[in-house]
Amino acid sequence: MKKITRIALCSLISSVILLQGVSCGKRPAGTSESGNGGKTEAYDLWSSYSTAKVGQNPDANGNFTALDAKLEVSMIKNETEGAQLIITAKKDVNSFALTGGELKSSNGEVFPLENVDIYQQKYIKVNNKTDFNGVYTIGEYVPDMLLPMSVAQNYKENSVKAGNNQGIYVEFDSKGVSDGEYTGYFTLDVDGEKTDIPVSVNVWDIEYEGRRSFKSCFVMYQSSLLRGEFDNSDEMVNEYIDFFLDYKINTCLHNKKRNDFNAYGEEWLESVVRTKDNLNYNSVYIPYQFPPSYVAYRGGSTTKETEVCLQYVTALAKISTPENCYVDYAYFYPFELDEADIDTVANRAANAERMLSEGGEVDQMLSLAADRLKADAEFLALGETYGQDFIEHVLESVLHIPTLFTNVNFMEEWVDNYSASFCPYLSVFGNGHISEHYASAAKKRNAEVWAYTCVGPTYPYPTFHIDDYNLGTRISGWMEKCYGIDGYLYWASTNGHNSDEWYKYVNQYEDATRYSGADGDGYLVYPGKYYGVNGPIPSLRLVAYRDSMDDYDMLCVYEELLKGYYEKYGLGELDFNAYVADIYASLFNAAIYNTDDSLLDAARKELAKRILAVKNEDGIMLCEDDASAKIYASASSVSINGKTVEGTKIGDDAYVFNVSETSGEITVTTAKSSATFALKRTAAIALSDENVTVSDNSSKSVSGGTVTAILRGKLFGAGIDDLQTASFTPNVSVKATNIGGARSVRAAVENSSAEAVSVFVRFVSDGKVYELGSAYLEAGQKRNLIFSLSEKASALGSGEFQFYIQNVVKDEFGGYTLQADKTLKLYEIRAEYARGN
Amino acid sequence: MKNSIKKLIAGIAATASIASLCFVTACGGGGGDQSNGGNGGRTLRIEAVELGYGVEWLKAIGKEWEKATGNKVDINPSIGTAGNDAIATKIEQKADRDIFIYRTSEYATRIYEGEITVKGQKYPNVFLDITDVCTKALDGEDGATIDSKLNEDFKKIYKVNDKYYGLPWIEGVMGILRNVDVWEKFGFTDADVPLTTDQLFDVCEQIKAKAATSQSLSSVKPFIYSSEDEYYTSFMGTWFMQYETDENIKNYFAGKDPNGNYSKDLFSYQGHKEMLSVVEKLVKKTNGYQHPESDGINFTDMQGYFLKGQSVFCVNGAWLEIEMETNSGAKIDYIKTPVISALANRLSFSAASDKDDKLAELVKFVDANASGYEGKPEWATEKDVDEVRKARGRNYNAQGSSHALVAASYSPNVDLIKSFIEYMYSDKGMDCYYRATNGASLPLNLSKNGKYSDVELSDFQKEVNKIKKDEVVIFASTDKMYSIGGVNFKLFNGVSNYVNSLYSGELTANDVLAKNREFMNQNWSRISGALGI
Repeated sequence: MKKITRIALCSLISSVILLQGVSCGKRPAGTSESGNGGKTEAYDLWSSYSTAKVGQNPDANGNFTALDAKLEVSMIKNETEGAQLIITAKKDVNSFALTGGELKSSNGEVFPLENVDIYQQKYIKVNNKTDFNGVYTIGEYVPDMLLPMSVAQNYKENSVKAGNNQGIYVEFDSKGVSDGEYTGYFTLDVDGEKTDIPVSVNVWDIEYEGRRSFKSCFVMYQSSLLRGEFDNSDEMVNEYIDFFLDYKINTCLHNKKRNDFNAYGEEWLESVVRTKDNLNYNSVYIPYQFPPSYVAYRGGSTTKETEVCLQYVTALAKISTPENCYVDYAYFYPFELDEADIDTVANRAANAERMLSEGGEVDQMLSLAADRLKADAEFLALGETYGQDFIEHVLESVLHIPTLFTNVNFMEEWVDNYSASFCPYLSVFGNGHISEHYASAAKKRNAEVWAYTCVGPTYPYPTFHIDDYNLGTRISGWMEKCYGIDGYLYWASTNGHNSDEWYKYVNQYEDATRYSGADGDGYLVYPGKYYGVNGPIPSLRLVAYRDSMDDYDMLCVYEELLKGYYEKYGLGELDFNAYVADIYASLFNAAIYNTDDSLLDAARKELAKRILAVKNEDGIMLCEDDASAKIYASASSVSINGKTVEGTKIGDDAYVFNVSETSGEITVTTAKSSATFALKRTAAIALSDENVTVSDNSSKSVSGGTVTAILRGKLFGAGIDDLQTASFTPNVSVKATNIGGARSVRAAVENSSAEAVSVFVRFVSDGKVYELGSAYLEAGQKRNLIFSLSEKASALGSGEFQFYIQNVVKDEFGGYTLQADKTLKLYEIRAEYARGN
Repeated sequence: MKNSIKKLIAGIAATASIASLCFVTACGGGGGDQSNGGNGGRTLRIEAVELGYGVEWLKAIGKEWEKATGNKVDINPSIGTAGNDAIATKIEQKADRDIFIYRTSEYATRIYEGEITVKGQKYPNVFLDITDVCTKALDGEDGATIDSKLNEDFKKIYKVNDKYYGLPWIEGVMGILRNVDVWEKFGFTDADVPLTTDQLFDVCEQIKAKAATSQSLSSVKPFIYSSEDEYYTSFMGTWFMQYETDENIKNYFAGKDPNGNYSKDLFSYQGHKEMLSVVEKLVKKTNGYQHPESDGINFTDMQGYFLKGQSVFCVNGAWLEIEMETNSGAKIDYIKTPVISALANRLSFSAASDKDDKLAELVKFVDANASGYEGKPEWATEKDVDEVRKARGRNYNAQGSSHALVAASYSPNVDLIKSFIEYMYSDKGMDCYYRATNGASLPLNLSKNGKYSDVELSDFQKEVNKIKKDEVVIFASTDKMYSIGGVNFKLFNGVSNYVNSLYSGELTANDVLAKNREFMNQNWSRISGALGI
């Protein structure tokens, strides 16, 4: 059983108020951005972005933008996207309802009404305040449950008290819908008074195909369904599992039968296969729980625990097929090692070391599983059906079945030495050198990197808390793509009781506390029982998660397109983040998101624009890897901004074109295609002997525009314990002028040392220090590092970019030592400005 | 978050019975028609937490204010931690009350939250701006204002963005308590009171040595504390402030690194290291300076052990006697906090082999000479004297930084609020407080002509009252770094309960600092974002 631990030491109770992107919105009282809010004597009608959480009390502090009373969504194909309408009642409203209407595109196609779901937002009280985000205070009612409009009508809950807001959430599913813009009107009926609500659904010609790649493990305790549904039968469990899958969530079903394959195995295998046709299904929980004392062998023989593990693993391998390779989806999640880095009582750290080290007990078990399969006739027979490559693939996959290891903090020595799939707090990924260290270690071991939240971290990081923005969860999908996170784990998705007071009844529709101090954490759905709904009822928080996954998939579409081009045009390895760094920067910094909903809307539209630009018949794409931009296409000649440019052939149907423009937008056309790209203006920052310096004790040489810096540590006064020693930062510093207005800085850096190094970058000007970020470079690795520059930093116009390392690092014994010399090469540094400018 | 409220709950009953003696006699004497005090008047509504000092002092002040103004006071006490949390919740919910008296670590954070809306009306802050009350001349006090009377260190806490949004309602002096009876049993005299921390450790060694050869003193240790509720982290800042320069203290309190910048290097002060090193040496189990029960007993029992002579010293607060109801017949007092020996490393004689002796000599000099340099040791420079005099003036720590009296900005009784505050912090109100608490005082000086009434004080309270206000420092800050930035001022960043870890040896002082530095590294994006850097 997963133990619930305290909020992490480094995820302190956040008392942060983000100062960027705040737009204090209130009920407009007839006003909106365009001044066209609907207004009658009985109520005001308006809308906001789908991610905005608009409280029931119009006078409460809010942070949302009031928009015209309309429903407007833009989406890719096969996606569900929502919009919301808000009624602010001036008098009591006895009944209201929104009904759908015909939505048609310009070529006469109709958006199916059965693809539209209309919900009444139900409000729940904030009992506890988790953090200081300045909104959603104790006692306030915030929207969460999404009750289908028809159900609300049947139960006569579709009324509004005077002085209250009432939200209506509408979801559009573009499954089976052609691209195009569909417009029309829905009808809002308020006590018999009807209003036409303009609706616009824009479906982009973009589609994610195939099984989803981002994995998930949302724990569902089978027992929890009893409290709300009064039913935790297999049928009800499956309702929930299927429901969650529709929201792009893979369930980790927790029940007691797990460590007995003979009793549970067959049932489990059936459940593994049951949902295979759902392309959101990609994570298979192997329900074996390692006991704290687990060892693979004892006295030279396998332990009985190992034998049970082997039963699970080999059985899974044997039902795998090329189309549904279940071992690829499989993972272990040992509860007994949860948050071992902050455990103080259960010896988890020592157990983790024994079990998860390279070559540790779990590795030994998996190795034995592979050996057993190699001698298993039933398994080997699959080779006759699917080929020997498939057999090899499965065996390799078995060896690398992830063991999810949740850590609250970054544990460097563990990451370097364990073969687990690390699953730290999402907030940990805010540091480049940390997220890259995870990624690098995972790559070496063919492991995965996951993230999790469990009560913590709190705002300003994404949370599922009732008293927090839903926007954070929505943006978490972008963060996960940016930081190379492969999956997300959540500790409980259906809890119906307060973990601290498990013996007390909780009215799940009225009480959001499942863990004291973090309302909303521990559940994402409401039981359908009371409303006669078979299965769960969604929440806005659940919707935010699903939508975050839609955004993640959209980024995958772009990445796949670009990867295809990179392969076609022989451009080497794609650095996808370089193509979307500016979009990411508009949404978040580190693992902290901007709280302005409009930015998310703008980011999606910009991403769609970029995808559509490269989704053209002649394979036109823009590459800005070098200092000058280049166009690639499969046509031999293109027109760039109306000027014909002849290409240089680089392969079959592959040509490269120089771009003379250095800023603004370019439109590239061929006979069959046209694409517009916003160029990223850059300016080189000179690397010369005059403007490059190094810190005391270090040395540098500059040749041909390349700086080679040997960074050496230095001891002061009392030696390694001296504070000056601890705070000294060996660095190479580059003077930069005229960087005013730059949005980011990009540096080609190579670690020419024999060991990996974490490199930190800061901008220093006029006594002010701006930490820009960090990176982790393996020995010999060369990479382009991109760091955002804040407006304040770039407004200074000039200063020094310092690339530094830590003077003091931990040694292998847990003590401290001077970091060994590191050689960094700087090949190029460029200031980057906004695209299209 | 340190929860020192636990220990204060223990003394509630005791406090009430002691304070009630004063309440019966009333503050300010008789006279006036008490039954008509509120006739036709309005009612001021106060939420107050009932902790170690109880609320009788508040009732007493309330009664006097009622007489003076013809209005009524309605006090709703809430007991203990739960009561305190309830008050915090009421503030969060914008409850319809006027004044809140409670304990909070979020005073500044609340203020930085900014504008609120209550019943459709906007207010710049949840707490009422009471700067005007604090800066107006108090009646009959010769131009004194609350601001001019308030201890300077408390001003730094309660003034945020140059405005007062609250005031302290206790002082809560902390320091090194001495059980004089036990001290004397060991054969020590006042001449043996350590002047530097190295001397303190010498004394500890002497106590250990003597205890080892004495049957009657064999169980006595130099110090005792309770791992359940330690106070070293509340007190140790005294050593930081003795060691560091004024400039560095100012920078640290402002959330800046030693270079005066907002940066990840906030925990690069040598003063932190020196302070933690002293604490580590003092508490480390293997050094044998702490009573072996320190990691097993609760706070109340620990105080009992101390009073019963199981240790010579105890880092604790002036509430001890009130809370324990009795001092078990023990004679207890404070010793001046020994000056941190590491200070010598910053002075002109840092290379001397007897630098600690020299430091001690300078401490004696400044103890005897409140100002000037005449008679100073020849080898000492004037700067040395200045530094030691400054350090010697920082002896005690105050807990009152977290005990806040605040008022609701949205209250319809703003005039009553201001009138009450003005009364409470006037000489009259302070005297009422003094008598109701049997000699405790608010962290304000009386005005020039102000005088406390004669109250029969315990010997210990007399000793406490001898402590000058300006010898009491506050190791706390309301700078944005430590409120909305989420950085803990007392080094609980990335590490909790570190005193207990220092005790067990699991961590060293360097480890604690390293964890704080690592915290800053890992969270700098969030912190700098919150501060708008």
